[in-house]
Amino acid sequence: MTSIIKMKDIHKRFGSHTVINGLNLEVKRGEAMGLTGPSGVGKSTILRIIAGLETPDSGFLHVGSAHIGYVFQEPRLLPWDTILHNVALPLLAQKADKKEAKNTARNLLHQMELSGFENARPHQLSGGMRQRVALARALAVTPDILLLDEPFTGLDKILRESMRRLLDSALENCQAAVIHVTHDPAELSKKTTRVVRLCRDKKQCCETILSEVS
Amino acid sequence: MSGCTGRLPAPLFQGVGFLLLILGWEMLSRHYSGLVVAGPRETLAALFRLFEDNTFPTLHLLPTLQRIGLALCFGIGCGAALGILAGFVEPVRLMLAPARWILTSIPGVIVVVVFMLWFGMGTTMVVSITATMVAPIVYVNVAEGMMSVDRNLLEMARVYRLPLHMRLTRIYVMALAGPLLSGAVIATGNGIRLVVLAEMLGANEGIGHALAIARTNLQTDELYALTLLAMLVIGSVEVLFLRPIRRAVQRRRG
Repeated sequence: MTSIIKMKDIHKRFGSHTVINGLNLEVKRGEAMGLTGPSGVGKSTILRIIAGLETPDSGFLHVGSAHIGYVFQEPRLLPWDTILHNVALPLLAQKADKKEAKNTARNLLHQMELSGFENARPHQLSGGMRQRVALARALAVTPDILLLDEPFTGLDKILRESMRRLLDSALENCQAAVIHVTHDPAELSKKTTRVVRLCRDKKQCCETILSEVS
Repeated sequence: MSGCTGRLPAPLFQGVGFLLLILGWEMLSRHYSGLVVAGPRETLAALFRLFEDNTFPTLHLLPTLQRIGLALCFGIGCGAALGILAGFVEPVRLMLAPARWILTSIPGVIVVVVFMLWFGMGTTMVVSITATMVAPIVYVNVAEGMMSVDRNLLEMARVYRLPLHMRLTRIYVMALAGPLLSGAVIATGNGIRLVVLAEMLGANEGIGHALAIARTNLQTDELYALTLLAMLVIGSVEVLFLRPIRRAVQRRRG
């Protein structure tokens, strides 16, 4: 299988703080990978670099597709749009047919067990429901790369379990390479074949060392 | 805003406040000579007299309304456009800062005198003064609104490659609607006041010009009637245009 993401000797600093120091990472097409580690080691920054929201200071970066789905830590939904419009938004940006985009969005909302909430506004939904809408939006683009940045943050244990179950079912028929950042490996989907743990070298606290755990 | 203060509805208190104002006005008019304070009844009678004269609407009211419309269109349009530009391009915001400061701190009457020297008397002068003074109010509101647009939503838009027109209509317009409307409400009030002031000092027609004549002829009741008319124009613009837009935006924003 070919790599869809290739990062070689990536460095990233924010001011005087080195967040990523010589990161090497490869993700193959269709592979689901977990990314764990303590706070501040650059897990979210890696996703942001892949999504094009940050530029690495140095190193080689190859991202093999523009079809990226991203579930941020917070849902980032347009508060003035309905749930249906929020999910259809990336499809409309790709100039998809309006009716088709809405149908796809409706199906995804059904998959996320949100049927009946199509015309609701984000503020009318609970935190868990909003995060499910964000996941539906990320899946709407039929992504080649799906980035999940601690999507279950702020949810209670029952909601996290329900989200994981929905994620499992969503990823079943999804061919995307998945990178799931989490503090809790129990949140990772069944499809996950590899967990990469980022850790700081205790002697050089700014250096980030990548090691495969399983 | 409709609400409830204790057990009584807010409009009741507003109504009582309005009646107290009328009562105070009536008492003042009885205390002072009609030359100094015209009473509510005399003012209303003078207002009806103004409209009985067929030339008043075409000679004074329409020119003022046209000037208000033009000045607000130019002022709000330029202010909003510059505010958006300043929000996107930081150097533009910095370069506009001194002009903004001068225009918001300079007294309106000085601008009127200067613009009279530049443009002479008439519509061009009135419209340019008002637009120039209104634009910074809208500019400040929109520029600050641009800076407070949710960065998280903009990042989301980047990830999903939303084209510029979608970013503008789906994110910026909705985020800016609130500050723009607040700016427009203040600009409308100030704009109408400025049009009347500029007409009073340098125009041959319009409500302001009629005010100047009434003052010269010591027709206090007409002076009050024209003031009431100016207030009615401000109220009508707010009730007929700005409030429905604000309600629509609030509905959309949820």
